[in-house]
Amino acid sequence: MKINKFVLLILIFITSLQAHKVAGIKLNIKDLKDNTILITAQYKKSKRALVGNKVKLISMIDNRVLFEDKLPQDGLIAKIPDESYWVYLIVRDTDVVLEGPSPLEGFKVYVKKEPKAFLYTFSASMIFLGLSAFLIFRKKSKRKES
Amino acid sequence: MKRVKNFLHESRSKIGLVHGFISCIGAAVLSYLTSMVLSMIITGNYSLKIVPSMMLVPILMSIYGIWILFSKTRFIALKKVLFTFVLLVLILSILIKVL
Amino acid sequence: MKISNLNQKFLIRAHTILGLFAIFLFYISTYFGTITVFLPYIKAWENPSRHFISSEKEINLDSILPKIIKEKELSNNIEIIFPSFRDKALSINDETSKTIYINPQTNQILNTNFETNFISKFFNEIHIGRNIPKIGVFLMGVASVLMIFLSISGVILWVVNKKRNRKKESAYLKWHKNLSLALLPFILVFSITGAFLGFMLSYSSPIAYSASKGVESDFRKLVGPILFPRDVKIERSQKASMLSFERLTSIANTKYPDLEIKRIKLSKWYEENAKIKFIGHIKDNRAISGRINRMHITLSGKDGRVLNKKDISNANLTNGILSTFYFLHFIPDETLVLRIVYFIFGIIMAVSLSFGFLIYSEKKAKKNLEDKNYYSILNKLAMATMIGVIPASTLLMFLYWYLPFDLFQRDIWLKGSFYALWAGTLFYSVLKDSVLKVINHLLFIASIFLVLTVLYHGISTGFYPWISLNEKLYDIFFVDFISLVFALVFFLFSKKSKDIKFFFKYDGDRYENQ
Repeated sequence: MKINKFVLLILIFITSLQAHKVAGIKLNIKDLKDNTILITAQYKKSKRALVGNKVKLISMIDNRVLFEDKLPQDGLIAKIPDESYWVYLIVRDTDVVLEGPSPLEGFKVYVKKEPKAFLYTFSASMIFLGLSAFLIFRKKSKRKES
Repeated sequence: MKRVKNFLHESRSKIGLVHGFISCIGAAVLSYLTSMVLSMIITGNYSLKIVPSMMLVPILMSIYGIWILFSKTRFIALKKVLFTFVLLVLILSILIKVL
Repeated sequence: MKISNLNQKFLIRAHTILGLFAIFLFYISTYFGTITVFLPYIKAWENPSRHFISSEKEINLDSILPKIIKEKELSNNIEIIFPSFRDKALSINDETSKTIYINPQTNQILNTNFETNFISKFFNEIHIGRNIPKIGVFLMGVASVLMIFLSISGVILWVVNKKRNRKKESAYLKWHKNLSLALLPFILVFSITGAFLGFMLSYSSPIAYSASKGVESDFRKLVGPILFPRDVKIERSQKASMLSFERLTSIANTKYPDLEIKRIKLSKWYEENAKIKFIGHIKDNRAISGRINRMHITLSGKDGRVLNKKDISNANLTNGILSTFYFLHFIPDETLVLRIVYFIFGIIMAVSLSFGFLIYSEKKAKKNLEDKNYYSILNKLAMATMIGVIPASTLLMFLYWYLPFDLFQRDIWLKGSFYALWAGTLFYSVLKDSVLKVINHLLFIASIFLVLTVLYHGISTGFYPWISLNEKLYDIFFVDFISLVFALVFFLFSKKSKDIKFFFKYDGDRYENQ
């Protein structure tokens, strides 16, 4: 009984903390190997293509919009920028975000944003839980001795 | 076999795991079956058939649970579940054939 | 009413065991559900773009809409939602683009960059149980079904034991009984509607199966077309000019005077076959014509003739029932007084739930009085879950204003810090043995974070509580005010609880407890 509740508590802390995904939509970026990319998107279940949604290329350096257009039926072809960028697909009020592939010669300005948030906070939670379990074990065995 | 029979027939003073399981799962199964029967009996369009039956299921789960819980022996609890189960399945199959 | 002693014992034990299982989930659901009673105010508070006074004057759609439709190249199925109690801004969007919010007083487009309604969405997620991956929603649904059982069994136990000797009852039992009985209608309403919304909506395939005689197992496919008929698809046609919105609205008001218009839908606008649909509820009858059962009237955009009309006479009975159901659980358009009542009831319910747990833990402690090795892990878990969630949620509100809005992975930092602090409270309650000390410290931390929240809200948006009161932004002032009130309550409790007789036995520092 008690063990089940502990497991339950741990489950509460492991959540899918991944943002920037919209359930049911798949964003595809195909590197056409000539410094352009083909951007398409479809619904996961019905495989129907999304048409008319806005696509934005956003710089990783200062968040400015490098390029934007609407998705036509057969996908959008865009030139790969010189700096690290994200590809944003606007689906109503949420975005699907993917890191954009680099050009053939590599980025002129390169930034790697480390996804630190999940790592730091998740390990903090796990450390606290682990320490609690350790303390409980120690207190119980101490009491058994005395 | 004799051990199982004794186990089922003994009258206990506390709820054990078996009794608890029979009540919980039995209540869930019976309440779903009852609402399935209800959804076939109600005449009208689909929304009238389905929505009221859906609303009743959780309430029925509690009522069936209490009814099955109040059994002196595990055997009686099992009897309650099985008899009602068979009864409801019979009614369901008759309704499927008739309607 | 009499039930045999044996059955009574069974009922008590079932109530206890199922209560212990459900309480961790249901307390959290109650806690966050109670906070979300104030959702409209929280939504205005957390979005800097909504820090303006709501407008009383009539909205002139003709001065806003045609320009926006042209500028933003909005195409089919344009939906316009009028400012309401839930959102002061006018919202316009079509099927694919980001919603455009407009200040109805100045006709300016609001800057909603980085605004994701994070707090409202996150608190609601936890309330439903969606934060636990895969099984969370199911577990919450089960907990709400169990709640119905607990309420019914609790009432039976009360009725059977009415004549018992009152003096021997423990304080917790008395309070748990009295509070729950006093709130019984409230608890039943929320557990039955909650069980329907949380459990039955996801697990109704057998009923769909039997109702359709084995054909369809998804009840939404059977019920959807009846309750929510889809708009008929309109063929493309030649361009045409439309009547002005003012004219069309006045036609709608004449043909359907009882309709309180809340939304408008434009289909294939600026074409021959254009349709405009005015959607809303019946004045004076919000319950039946709630969100699930909106009434509407559809006109042709070109000449204003009535194409379709739905009022109570030709509405579906089930729509009305469902709408009342949803109304009870969500009180969507109700204003302050009812919400404060629900809020207080929610707090009392949470207290009653925790007292229920304490009955069990006291009984167990009494049984193990001689056992020096007795250590209850369950107590620590309960402490962390029920009290620890308070500083964690106040930390979340503080970090919401403290962290810059364009921080990379901001929502993961927010959620992660929330869970990390919550785990930390478990660690703290295991570390320190004195129960009262832990509660005091946790509530003290919570009060500090609440004050910091109000402070940083002011720093970030410029709207300190006195400014928002001055500018008549009452909804934003309300959230700040409630936060400060609770900060004061928690602070006072943490300082004064040592002197309350009821808590003496929990104070590990007292001489008699050494």
